[in-house]
Amino acid sequence: MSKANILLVDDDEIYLYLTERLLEGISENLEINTYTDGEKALDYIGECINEGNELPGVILLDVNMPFLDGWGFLKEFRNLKSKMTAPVHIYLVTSSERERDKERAKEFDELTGYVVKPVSEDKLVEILTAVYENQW
Amino acid sequence: MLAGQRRARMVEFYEEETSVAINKTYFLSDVCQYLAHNTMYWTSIEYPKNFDPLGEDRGFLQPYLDVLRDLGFYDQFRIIDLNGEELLRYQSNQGREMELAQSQNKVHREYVREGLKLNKGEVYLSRINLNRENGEIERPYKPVLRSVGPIYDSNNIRLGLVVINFRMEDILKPIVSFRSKGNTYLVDSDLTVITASTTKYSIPNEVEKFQDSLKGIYRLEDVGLKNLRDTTYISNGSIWSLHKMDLTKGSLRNSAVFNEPEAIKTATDWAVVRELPEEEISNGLWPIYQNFMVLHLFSIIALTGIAYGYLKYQQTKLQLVGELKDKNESLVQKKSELEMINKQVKQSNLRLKIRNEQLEQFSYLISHNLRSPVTNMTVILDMLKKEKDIIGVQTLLPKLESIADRVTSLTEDVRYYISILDRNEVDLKEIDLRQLIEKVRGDFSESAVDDENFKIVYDLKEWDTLVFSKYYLKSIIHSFLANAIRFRNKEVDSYVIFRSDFEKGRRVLYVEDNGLGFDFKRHKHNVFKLYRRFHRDISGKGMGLFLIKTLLESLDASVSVKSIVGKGTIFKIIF
Repeated sequence: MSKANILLVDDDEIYLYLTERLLEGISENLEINTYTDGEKALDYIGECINEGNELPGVILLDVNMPFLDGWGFLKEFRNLKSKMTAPVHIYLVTSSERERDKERAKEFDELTGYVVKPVSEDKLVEILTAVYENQW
Repeated sequence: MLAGQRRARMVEFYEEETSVAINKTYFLSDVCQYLAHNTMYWTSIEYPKNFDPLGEDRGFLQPYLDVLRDLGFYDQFRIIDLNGEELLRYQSNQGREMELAQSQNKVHREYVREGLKLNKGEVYLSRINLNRENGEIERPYKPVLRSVGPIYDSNNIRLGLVVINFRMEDILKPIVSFRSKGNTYLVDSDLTVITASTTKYSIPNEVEKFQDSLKGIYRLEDVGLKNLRDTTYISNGSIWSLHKMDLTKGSLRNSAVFNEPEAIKTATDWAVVRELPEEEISNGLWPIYQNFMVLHLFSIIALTGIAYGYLKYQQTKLQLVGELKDKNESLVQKKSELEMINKQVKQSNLRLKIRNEQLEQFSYLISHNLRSPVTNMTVILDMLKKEKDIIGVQTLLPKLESIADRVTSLTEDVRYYISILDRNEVDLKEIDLRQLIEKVRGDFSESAVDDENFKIVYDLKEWDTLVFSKYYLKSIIHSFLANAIRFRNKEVDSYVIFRSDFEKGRRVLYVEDNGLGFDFKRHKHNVFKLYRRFHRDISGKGMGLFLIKTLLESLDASVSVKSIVGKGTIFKIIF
């Protein structure tokens, strides 16, 4: 069974470290990639498409990031969707509980869910189960 | 000979009576024009949307009410909505200052019904009658004329009517007085007497139990008048002369003080009627039957009397017209003062809105960025509780240090931002731009700006001084120079140009460099946001452009940007 491919995109390196560590504790059958801004993460997805590599099944995407923020990532991701051969489930992960952000998130069909930090182990299990059922 | 003299004298009487009647209609026309113009003032104001004069728009209205309080010829000032409900009732209190009063419904009153039919720019003048409150004639009797005009909001949506009750007592008096012989009447379309020299009452037909010395004359139809057609004739031995008021005549007609109403509609026409009774005519003719000398002497005395009366009447008229013009000018002055205050309030509101948006964005990002370390700490503490391996604990502890560093850094940003906004040094001064830039240039190390490969170019032909906060402008120029140096393209000779210009009368400053530039299409909406960066390999916090925008907008200036990767960036500041 191939590993489930998880992509973490956040400019907070401690968050990346902690979430990666939590995921590793949940399952050994996960391939985890991390990027500190939306621009680099998009480059990675573009590479996956161009080289025929497996796309991430789950992306945990931060909103506020330098270079390209979560909203900018989602807009440009939309342009790549037609070239994708497998579904990609994007969860917007943010510290913001602002209603305006939640409303804006509803404008993006690309989003599977909206998660408020901190991201607990239970929440990660819930996401993995929702996407992969018990195949992880 | 006597018959010829008598005929000539009668012709003189005819001409005198006609002339007096016409002059009095001119006076009345002036008054009506003035009242209509006065009403136009209130209809020309752009009222707030969903105008609520006693609620949230009280602040808008208060300066106008302050002006009205001193205008003694206003008896009532009302704003009435499209359903005839009074939204505002501001009335004089027994001759004292005007004050707010209980609103009433006026939908059934003729002046409201007629007012609702008016088009923009039209004014309606009611009949002159005694003021009524809640259906009862007010005591003491108070003749009023209601002037009505439609009012609109800033979107040109009709809100309702402005209705002004003008006190007519002092205006009616000179029409029927200042005449040594004969009687004067002011009548409306159906010859009903509005006021007369024969009675102390105005609108006698409305006065209860009216007992008049002149056989209770309410209407003038019995003397042979049929309608308001101009005429002079003899009836029952008296000379009668009727002249209708014409609103297109009178000295105020060409006044430049106010906009001319599109049309003045009236509930009735008005006419001045002069009566020279038989007895007076006989007295006037008697000298003809006396000796020649007595005749001439009497004529001279009579003519002197007429001339004196006429002169006095003219003086009163001029005085009244003069007072009305003074009041007009006072209103115009108050209007421009109010417009100035409105403009200042709008400007302040705009500044507060911009400042609120800035603070909202700042507080959002700061709260977001402060929450991140807190949530990380929560996760770390959970992990520490579960961690049994000492090595695992040791790997987590340094992360807590990093979190503490990050919180410290954020706190420092907040302190810096607040210190700038809280500075009291926003006093505006004339600044020599070139001098200021040179001074800021001195803040940078020599190697940064004195390098032959980096030039500051001045193109300040259009203007080189401006009034602004020196402290703010120094911070802004510092950020521009810092960016131009930090993001310079090392492959070419770098420069930054400061170029002044004018646009629609406002000072414009362009700051243009030939640095690295950035992907404008991708980042155009985020350029001035906090913690945004566009160059991965060059360190920076992402605060500079955010602060530039904050400082400029707080003093009514604005900034925009265009950029091309590899070519450079140009900022446009409009002061």
